[in-house]
Amino acid sequence: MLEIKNLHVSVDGKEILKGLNLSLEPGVNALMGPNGSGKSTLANTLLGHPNYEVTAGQILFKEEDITKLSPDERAKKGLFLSFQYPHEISGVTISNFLRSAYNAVTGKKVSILDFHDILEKNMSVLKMDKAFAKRYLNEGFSGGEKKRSEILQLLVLNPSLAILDETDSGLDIDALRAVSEGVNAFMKKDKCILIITHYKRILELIHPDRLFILIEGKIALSGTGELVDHLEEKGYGWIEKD
Amino acid sequence: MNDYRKNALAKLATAKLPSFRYGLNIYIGTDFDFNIAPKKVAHDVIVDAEEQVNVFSGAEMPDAEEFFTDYWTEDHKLFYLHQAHANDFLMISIPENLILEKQITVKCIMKTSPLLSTILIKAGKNSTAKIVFSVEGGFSNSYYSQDVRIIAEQNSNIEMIGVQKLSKNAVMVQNKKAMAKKNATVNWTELSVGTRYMRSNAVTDLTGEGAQTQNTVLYLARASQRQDMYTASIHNAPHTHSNMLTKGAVYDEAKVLSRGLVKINDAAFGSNGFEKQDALLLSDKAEADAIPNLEIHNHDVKCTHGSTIGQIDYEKIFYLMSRGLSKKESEQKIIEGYFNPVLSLLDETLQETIRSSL
Repeated sequence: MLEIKNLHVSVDGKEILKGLNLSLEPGVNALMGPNGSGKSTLANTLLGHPNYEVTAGQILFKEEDITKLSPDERAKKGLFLSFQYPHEISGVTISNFLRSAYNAVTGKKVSILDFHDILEKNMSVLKMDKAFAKRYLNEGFSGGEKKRSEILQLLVLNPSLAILDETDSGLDIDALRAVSEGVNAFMKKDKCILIITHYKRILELIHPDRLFILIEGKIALSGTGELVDHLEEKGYGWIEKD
Repeated sequence: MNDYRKNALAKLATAKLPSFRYGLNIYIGTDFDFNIAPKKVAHDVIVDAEEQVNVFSGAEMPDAEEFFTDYWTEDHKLFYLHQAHANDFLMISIPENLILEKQITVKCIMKTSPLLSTILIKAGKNSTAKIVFSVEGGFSNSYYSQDVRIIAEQNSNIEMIGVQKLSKNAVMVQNKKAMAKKNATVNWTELSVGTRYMRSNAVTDLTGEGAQTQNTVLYLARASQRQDMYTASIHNAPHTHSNMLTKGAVYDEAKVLSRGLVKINDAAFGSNGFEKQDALLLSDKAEADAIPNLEIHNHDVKCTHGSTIGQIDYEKIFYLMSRGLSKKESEQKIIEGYFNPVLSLLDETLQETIRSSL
């Protein structure tokens, strides 16, 4: 579904990704790596943030080169990023924003009433209060509410590839469980997900089919989900030595 | 011609234009020639009010002495120009104890220049009314001068909503003043989307104990527009309250200055005054300055002031774009959201005035 070839990315002239190769198939993929290894850079680059300059390499999504597409064009093709720090958009309600986004990615023009049904159905999956949809997007949300709001957006927009950038960080056990249930509800046979995380606990709730380790801007190791147990025991040091 | 006009005409000969300079660096003037010849006016004024309301509309000055005293005077050429040559008058009196359910609407369509409109509003004791005054029309270099005077008697409640949708090449000068007596409330809302130059001076004088005022200004400035706004709340009595919010979006090469003043005089113990000025800059060449001032002569008061001027954070645009909205749609959403908390307090027709212009 996603094929990254020899990707070099610089931020403010400093190279962060240094020839990264990565191939993602449908299913649950996890990406781990030490601080500063380039995980968030990869997430932002995949969505086309202009501060992340691709100096070489290619990103193919469903066999199409998307390296130069704008963020909204990528979203329309079925990419989604759950932000590590979702931004507050004052004065714009979740339902208003999400209906516009839904219409944009689906190319439909759903009525307010029809969209209301779509939204409520997905909110119930996440056990969210109906009043939540009337709040301004992320404004004054707790850390847990922000992440739930991200997963609600994921469910409503229903992309083919979802990247979760540290969606689990800062969540208490209940919030983590709700978020995981949401992600599991999203996962179907043809869907692909990339979970970027520092912690094993989310991978116990959403079982990864494959795990990739990013070190200094390159994929240093890949393997099955069991690899996470080695990491918990030994840290990243042993990979770097090998 | 009565004495008031004669006096203004005499003053006009020597009065000076405002300098349009503020501090060392801010100049917010216009190349418009204010030497305007008096002229009979052609325009449409459509007033819709319940029949108990007394409405006078015409080209001659109404007989309303209390509105034509030195109390209302601003000492500069633009003020005298208006008083000497005013060619349009509207007076609305709300009788005592009348509580209007339906709002009064006044629609003015400018067809000739200059149009110098004097609007006098008298809210009788214990009355309540809401007036929506909109002005549109105008053309290149047309001159619209508006002078609004409100007397709010004891315990009255008056809401004045001004909507300005003049031609983008018109020039407008606005002078507003209200006197709020004991326990009276005067609320001003101004929605402004047109003109190439606009100067506005709005003063609310809280003269009676317990009087209050809320002043909300929403504006959009585009192209090479210049907007010079001054809003003041003057507390002259105990337990008076004022709240001021100016919120605008500045596009293209437009330049806006928003000055605010909360003045608490020594008699006004137990009062509070708040002012906030926000401007959103939507191009690299757009400019906005906010000067919020407090002048406090009594220590038993509560006052705050603040201003924010800034551009849209690109990270917010990226966030919305990552959900499928184009860059333009994302900016639009953020601008709408910026105005929304204030707009949502207005009725839908008024909300649409701003929304459709965004």
